[in-house]
Amino acid sequence: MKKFLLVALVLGIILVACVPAPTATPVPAPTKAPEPTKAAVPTTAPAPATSAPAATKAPEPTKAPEPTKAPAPTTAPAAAGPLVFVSTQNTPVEEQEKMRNVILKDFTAAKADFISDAEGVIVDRILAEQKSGKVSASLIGVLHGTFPNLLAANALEDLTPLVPKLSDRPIVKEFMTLGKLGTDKQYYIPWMQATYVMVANKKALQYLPANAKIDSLTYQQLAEWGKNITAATKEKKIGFPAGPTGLMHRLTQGYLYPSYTGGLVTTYRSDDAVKMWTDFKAIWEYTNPQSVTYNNMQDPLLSEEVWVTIDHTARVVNAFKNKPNDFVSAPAPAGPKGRYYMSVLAGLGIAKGAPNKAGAEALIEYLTRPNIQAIYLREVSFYPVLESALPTDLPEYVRLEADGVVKQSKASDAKVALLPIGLGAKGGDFNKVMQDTLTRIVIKGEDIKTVLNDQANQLNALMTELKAPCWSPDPPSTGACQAK
Amino acid sequence: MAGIHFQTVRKIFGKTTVIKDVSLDIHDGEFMVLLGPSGCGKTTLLRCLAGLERVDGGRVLIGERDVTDLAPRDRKIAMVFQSYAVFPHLTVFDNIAFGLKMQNLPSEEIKRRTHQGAELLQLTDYLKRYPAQLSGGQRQRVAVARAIVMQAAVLLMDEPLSNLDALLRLQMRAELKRLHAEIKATTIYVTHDQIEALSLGDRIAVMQDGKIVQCDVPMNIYDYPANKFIGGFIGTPPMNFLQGAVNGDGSVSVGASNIAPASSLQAAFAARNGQPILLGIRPENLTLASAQQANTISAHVLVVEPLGSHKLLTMQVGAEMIKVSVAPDQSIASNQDVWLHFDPEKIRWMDAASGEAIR
Amino acid sequence: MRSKLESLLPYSLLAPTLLFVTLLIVIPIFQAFLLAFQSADGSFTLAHFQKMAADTSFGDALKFTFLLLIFIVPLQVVLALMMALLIHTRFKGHTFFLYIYAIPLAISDLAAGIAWLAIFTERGYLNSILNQLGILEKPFLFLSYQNLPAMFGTIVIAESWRATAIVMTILLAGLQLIPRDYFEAADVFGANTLKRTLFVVLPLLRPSLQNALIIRTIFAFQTFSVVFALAGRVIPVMAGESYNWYVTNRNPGVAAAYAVLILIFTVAATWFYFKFLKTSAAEAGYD
Ligand SMILES: Nc1ncnc2c1ncn2[C@@H]1O[C@H](COP(=O)(O)OP(=O)(O)OP(=O)(O)O)[C@@H](O)[C@H]1O
Ligand SMILES: [Mg+2]
Repeated sequence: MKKFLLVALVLGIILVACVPAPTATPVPAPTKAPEPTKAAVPTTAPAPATSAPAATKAPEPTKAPEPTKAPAPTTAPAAAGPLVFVSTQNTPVEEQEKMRNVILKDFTAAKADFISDAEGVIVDRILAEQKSGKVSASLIGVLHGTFPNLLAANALEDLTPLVPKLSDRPIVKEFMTLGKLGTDKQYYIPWMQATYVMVANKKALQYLPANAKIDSLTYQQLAEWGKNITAATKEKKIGFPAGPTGLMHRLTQGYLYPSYTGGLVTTYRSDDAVKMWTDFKAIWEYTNPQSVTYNNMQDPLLSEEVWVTIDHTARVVNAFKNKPNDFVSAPAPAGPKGRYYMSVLAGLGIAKGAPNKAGAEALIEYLTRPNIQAIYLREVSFYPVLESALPTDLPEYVRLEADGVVKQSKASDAKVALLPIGLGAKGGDFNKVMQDTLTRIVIKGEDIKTVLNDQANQLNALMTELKAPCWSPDPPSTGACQAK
Repeated sequence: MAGIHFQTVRKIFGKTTVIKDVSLDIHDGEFMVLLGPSGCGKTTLLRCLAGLERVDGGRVLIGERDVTDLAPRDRKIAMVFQSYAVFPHLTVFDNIAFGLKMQNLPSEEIKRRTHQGAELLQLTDYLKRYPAQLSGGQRQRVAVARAIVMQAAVLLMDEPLSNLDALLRLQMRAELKRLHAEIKATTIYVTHDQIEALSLGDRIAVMQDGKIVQCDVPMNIYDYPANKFIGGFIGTPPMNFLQGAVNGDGSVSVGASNIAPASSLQAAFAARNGQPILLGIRPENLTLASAQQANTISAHVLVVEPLGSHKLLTMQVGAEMIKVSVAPDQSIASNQDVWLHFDPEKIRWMDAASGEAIR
Repeated sequence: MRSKLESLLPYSLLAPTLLFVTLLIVIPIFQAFLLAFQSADGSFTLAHFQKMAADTSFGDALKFTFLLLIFIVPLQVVLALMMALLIHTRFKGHTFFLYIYAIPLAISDLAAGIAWLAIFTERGYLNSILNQLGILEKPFLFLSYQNLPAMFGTIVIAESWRATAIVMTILLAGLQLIPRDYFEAADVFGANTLKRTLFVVLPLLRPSLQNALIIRTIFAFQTFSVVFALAGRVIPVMAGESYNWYVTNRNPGVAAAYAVLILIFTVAATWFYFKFLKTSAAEAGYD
């Protein structure tokens, strides 16, 4: 009997070890998930469903500030009950705090309950609620790329009637178009945007290659820069967010590939791609090998393990905040096909059958007000989706970072790359192809052509399975997008 | 060469002093029995000697060596634990051989001595068993065997036969006595069994409340207890005690009678004129007298117990009860009134207040 | 009648546990198996396992999981044993050390990973101290993928720090169950510390050691937060891959396949320990 109990106990422990806390769909995964130390950004790409690639405009502070109408005070909606706002954004604890205590502080129309979690958790919740018919979450704040999935599950309310009420604020037109998800109805209202910038420690500037300018750098010059720094300091001081929750794959998708090949999927194993990886390996020569542990770049920037880097705006902003005098921001480097950069767009939608629809609409109205958008920029480094200029009274650290963002969008050779479209839940698999490619070529030093061939095959299999057509900057395709 | 010397050894547990400045010298090869009521500190004293307790005062010497600060294994002693402490994960053989193996003796020697020890304690049939498969008494014998095979110069035994049946205990007692005569280890032997104490001990040390109150050869302990406690503790039945008072002429009145103390004590009694005093006498030293004479007291027989080798009488003297042991053929019945004769030489007089013997 | 009721008593006492185990463990594990072996249309498939095995990280994950196991488990058990023995001597101030040792128990593995990252990173505490002491002029890159042994070493250290305490707790509890007499008898009969440990303490501790080994091995199969923090994707481990496939790659099938694989390995390890560390009832001292 004793033995039986012991065996039962041990088995119990094993089972517990292998099974996660029950979620909407029970899935075997370790019970404890490592939270990224700072993960403001989406794991799945925003996927504009519009055929015409919309160039996203970055806010320009130079424009004369348009007088914005003072927004009418939000009227308390009749609908009772709390307003549950689920989001895949602002997941880091500090950002959640900011959201609750600063950004939502003045929203009085309903009692907003902000819940932020990983994309999988949020999407599962929304879909499960739709299935069961017991909808509790009213407002949904997710990335552009997440919305098509929700629409496919018929989980979104049509917001077209809401649009006229928001006409007093200059939301970027292209963003509004993206919010229609390729239909003639408005399914989400643009919420906020973010991008990636280069950040450099001022100590590094003296080692810039002769005749290179930081605002118009090329990737080859970046390698040279790194080489100079290493020669002078005996340390490798370029850094990339290649840690487990870092966003390196976004840099591959939206910066390196387009800048060198003018495409992503179709050119995955092209000669241009080989050239890109060769150049990147050269940069990697002077890259801090600890990069494989970096999830955000602000910490290594502040500790000076790294002098030069490219990362998401929300993941470098603390560098400017803590040591405003030490860092400069600049556009990402350019490749032979231009200076591609990526814009990340998040939007607000309302769940079908939302228990507090009026409150959700009021909150959308509130969150898109120019002054609230400015608070967003100040507090969590996400940029407004409004045509109007950036507020002039920005804190210094925001201004320092915004400087690079604006220069990036205004650079003469600037081009916008879009995140993958139509991948839905398979966005993770798509990212994994990028990550594996990098690991094999750069970390393990495998032959570039062999790796690209392997990975391109996987990519093709994935795209075929999804029947996903090409998106910009790849040329439009009729069938599934395929690497040549 | 391996005498044991306790020099004002003190052991304190928390707030209670369990060993109170005990000094005791045990000669080389001596068999010293420690006797005393439960909780008086016998085990603790042994543990101080073994090094299992760190003393809070005084020194402990084995032979010429001051072992006070030595680890147990450096003291070269063997011990039978009161709780046996027979290793449950080892067979009887391995248990007995444990100490020998620790000394890295040649395996032939280990085998020989282990078998010898097992034979002595009648364990040969159980050598392959684990302790869990033995009776309590068998386990205790394993503990004894384990200590004996060490042939250490100092052997400590804490109630080693307590769990054996009467017959086996008798056998073992004889075996231990023979063994001691053979190996001559300096031995401290704790027991509650007075027969064991009297039969085995070269000397007996009686402990009470953390102190050694008397240490002497067995017959002296029996005949001349140092105080009321020892007299009452040793002997079955123990010594009788009667209240008395010292008269002006040096005699003692007990009830209606007068008892004259031995002439050697006359001086001591002269100084105690008028004081109360305790008369102690063993049951076998009282005899029945047919008529009143010198040193007799009238008594009433309450109970007669024929016990084979003798008859045990319970008598009332005044308000007190005493036990008297008489020959088995003595004719006596309960409810009889008799005269009891006290042999002055066999009386142990004690101070009524302190209980200390008057010498 | 009474005896019938009495015979039912143990089962009624077990019932809540059974219910708990069924609801929270048996059913999810059944679902995990379903996920691992079911294709999208519900038919039986090995595709998830094939996808798992074909993945670049699979071989590495397997290799590193077992390497970690081989390094960490013995190291931890030895360390934990030494710590437990030390505490068990009840030297002055041993409770203080007990609390110190127990700190990692209270810290989540994720927090532990971050803490150790702060220690081992290029400008971390360790390098700063070594630099201050004049031992290192330039920071040493412990966490470089180009120096896998160093990286692996940091994981071994961090993991040992994190989970040795639990092993120690189990062993200390086991030690405290052993009557002190046995240790004293060993002392009196001439065993030095080493011999006493080998011939008395360890054998008596065997049931606890077995438990500790089983639990530690299961833990080792679960390890990944610390590995993630210190080595990112360079040193993949099975639990981490399962997590990645589920959370990052949104592929529950492959994640479940990993979970099933981990389950198989854990069961095998447990069986192994039961089989080879078995104590007979007589030896264990049960009557
Ligand atoms: N570790 C300890 N902590 C506190 N008090 C103790 C400890 N060990 C013994 N004592 C106390 O010391 C006194 C003497 O104990 P000891 O075991 O020496 O008695 P003993 O004479 O061997 O008794 P017994 O004949 O019952 O074995 C007892 O009152 C006991 O309660
Ligand atoms: Mg005792």
